Amino acid sequence: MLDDHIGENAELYALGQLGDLDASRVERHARTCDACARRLGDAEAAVLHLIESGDVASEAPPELDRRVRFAGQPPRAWIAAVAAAFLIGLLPWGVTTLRNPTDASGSSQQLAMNAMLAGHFLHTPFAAVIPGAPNAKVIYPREGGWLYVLVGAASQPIEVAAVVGNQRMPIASISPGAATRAAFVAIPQRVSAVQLLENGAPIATARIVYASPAP
Amino acid sequence: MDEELVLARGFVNRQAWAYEAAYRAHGNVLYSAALQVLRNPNDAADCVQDVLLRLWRRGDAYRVERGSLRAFLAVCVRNEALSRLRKTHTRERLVQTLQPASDTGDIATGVVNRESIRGALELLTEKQRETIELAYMRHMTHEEIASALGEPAGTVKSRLSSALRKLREVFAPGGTLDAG
Repeated sequence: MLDDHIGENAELYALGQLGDLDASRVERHARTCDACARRLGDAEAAVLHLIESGDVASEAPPELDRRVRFAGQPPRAWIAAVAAAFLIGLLPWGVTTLRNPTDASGSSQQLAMNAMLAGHFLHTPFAAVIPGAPNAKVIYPREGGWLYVLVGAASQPIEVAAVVGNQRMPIASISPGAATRAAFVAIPQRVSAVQLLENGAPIATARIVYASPAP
Repeated sequence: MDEELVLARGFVNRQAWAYEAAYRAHGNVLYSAALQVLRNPNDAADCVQDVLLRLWRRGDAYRVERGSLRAFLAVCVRNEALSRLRKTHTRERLVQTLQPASDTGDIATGVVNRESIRGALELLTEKQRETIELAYMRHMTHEEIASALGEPAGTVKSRLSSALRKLREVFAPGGTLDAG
């Protein structure tokens, strides 16, 4: 096969009939050849049809669900990446419509940088209120002062709101799109929760628990 | 842009949300693909987790031009399950494949429990049907099939290829059980 098209090895690959070496050749070739990629995809679709015609579990075990989610979240790595992005100025401030009632001068960014470098900060995922809510997280310092909200792919415009006492304060808007969006908001008040809203209705909530008592 | 394409592109670009989204969208069929081969829930779960994480970290394993992300992931999981089965249970599996079909009925019925599949298999020639059943349902390699049938390995490989292409024609949108 080598540099030739993969031919019948497409179907043999999809049926699990190739050894490691031939399978690697098929995968490598399909990365650069559209025609062979399509033939391989067709073969895979046929095998998928066979799989789906067999005993299909109504749902995977909860333990697998937990393991998959855990494996996909290396928190130390992505927190370090966020901190590094702050340092080299890569954070996409322009991707959100930021409404920051307390600080539009940039000192809030400085606060976040200092907190991440010298202090300790926490993070918590949003819990979906409705099915299909985007994945999202909020990063915040142990003593409060700002929120950094990350939102995954969203099909609708999303409002970000902070819950302070009995009030819900809109703090940022996230535009829809496939890319992960970010919003930074300096907020001096103690926040009990951050909510994502679609058309005014909550779709996900993250509870904020500070590590230090309110001053 | 439809949701599947958004997810596929996110997966290719190794976006964190796409990892979980791929599992949420396709986890059941991936787990089923592994379980159909390994017949052990813990082994199947291990297989799915390992394959999904490996593919997502690599990023370049899949490209949108290949077609369905679901089919790509399912075949990768099934192939890994087959590899693990062949490495760890070669002797037991060969004994099983030599038993009459009735002794492994749970495997066979688990694969062809839909009328459409039975109908599609009926469209294959007898040789094609026999070969694809040994390869897919009994998890035999083409070398093992060639040995069992007393035919050259090349003949078996070509027959598997043509049989799967025939099935693809029947399964494809617009394909019918009367085709060809």
